[in-house]
Amino acid sequence: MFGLGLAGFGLSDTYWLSLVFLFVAGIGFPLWVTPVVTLLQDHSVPEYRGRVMAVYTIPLQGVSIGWMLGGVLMDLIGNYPTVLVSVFGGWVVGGVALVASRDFRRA
Amino acid sequence: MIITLYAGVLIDRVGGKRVLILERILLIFLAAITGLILLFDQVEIWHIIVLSTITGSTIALGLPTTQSLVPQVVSEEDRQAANSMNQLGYATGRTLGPLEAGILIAVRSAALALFELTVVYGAALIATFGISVKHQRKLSKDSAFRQIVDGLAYVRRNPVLLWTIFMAFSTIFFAMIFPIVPVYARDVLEVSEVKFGWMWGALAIGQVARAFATQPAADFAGSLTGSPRAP
Repeated sequence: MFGLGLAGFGLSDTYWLSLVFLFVAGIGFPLWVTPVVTLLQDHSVPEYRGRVMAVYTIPLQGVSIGWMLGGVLMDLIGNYPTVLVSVFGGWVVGGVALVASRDFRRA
Repeated sequence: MIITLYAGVLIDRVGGKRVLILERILLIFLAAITGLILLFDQVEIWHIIVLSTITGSTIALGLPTTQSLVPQVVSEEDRQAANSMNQLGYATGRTLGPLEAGILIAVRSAALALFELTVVYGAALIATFGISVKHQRKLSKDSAFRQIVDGLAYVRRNPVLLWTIFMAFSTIFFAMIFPIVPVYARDVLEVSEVKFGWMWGALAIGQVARAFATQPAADFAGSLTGSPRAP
């Protein structure tokens, strides 16, 4: 839903439609974050939970790398292709995780 | 990254509540110092660089703390709802914080915005003292480095943890959209600063709406006010 909202935003050239797509992307964002946090909390024992959550926040801190890559790609390939890379790149990473581990799919 | 990993060790050693208290005390001092520098017009570039670096490191200390504290504070059945509420808090802060700071800077001064931030952190500190945790951690005698390695090995051994964390790397791709929004606003949509502000607002309002619409979140909010759960 987050990806669809972003893809729609990238295609929109109308202000109000862009707002709607960004709103949809916003709706999709916590949809992904909350179950992931709960999953990590449920599958880690209390003795390790602090370290597990610390490891989890490392990719989240990569957001600044994403900002930088976004700016570089915009210059190299243009705005909308960058939106597509953003959306499909995110989906591919999520998809690889789902395909790679049966335990993760069942969790 | 190193500070975040060390924060994890600290949480497992002394408990999330103490780490959160430490983080909030540091943030109060940092916001107050920045405010005072601005108030007395003594600001220099290196001040901002040093203060921003320390503030970023302090926030890195706090990031995993809240999430690891949730299971210690709420029951397992309320965990998902509590995480939704936590997310709602972040989203609301991200929406209202910059908006209010912008108004204060425009109307009065940046120093006032920083002093208000000090008060907000102070309120958060008082609230943190009120958190009642289920159990206290035992102090470990292993070195911090050894505990970090042990934690990474634990994640590696558990496929659910490993692939969940791997999936979180998708945020790097999703974050690529953020520098595009202002470019679209200027070049494609050709909107004013106010309308551009509403574009970020729409994203944040979507997050808030989602958190409010989540049934477990509604149940959890209801449990705080004593309302019955939905069937």
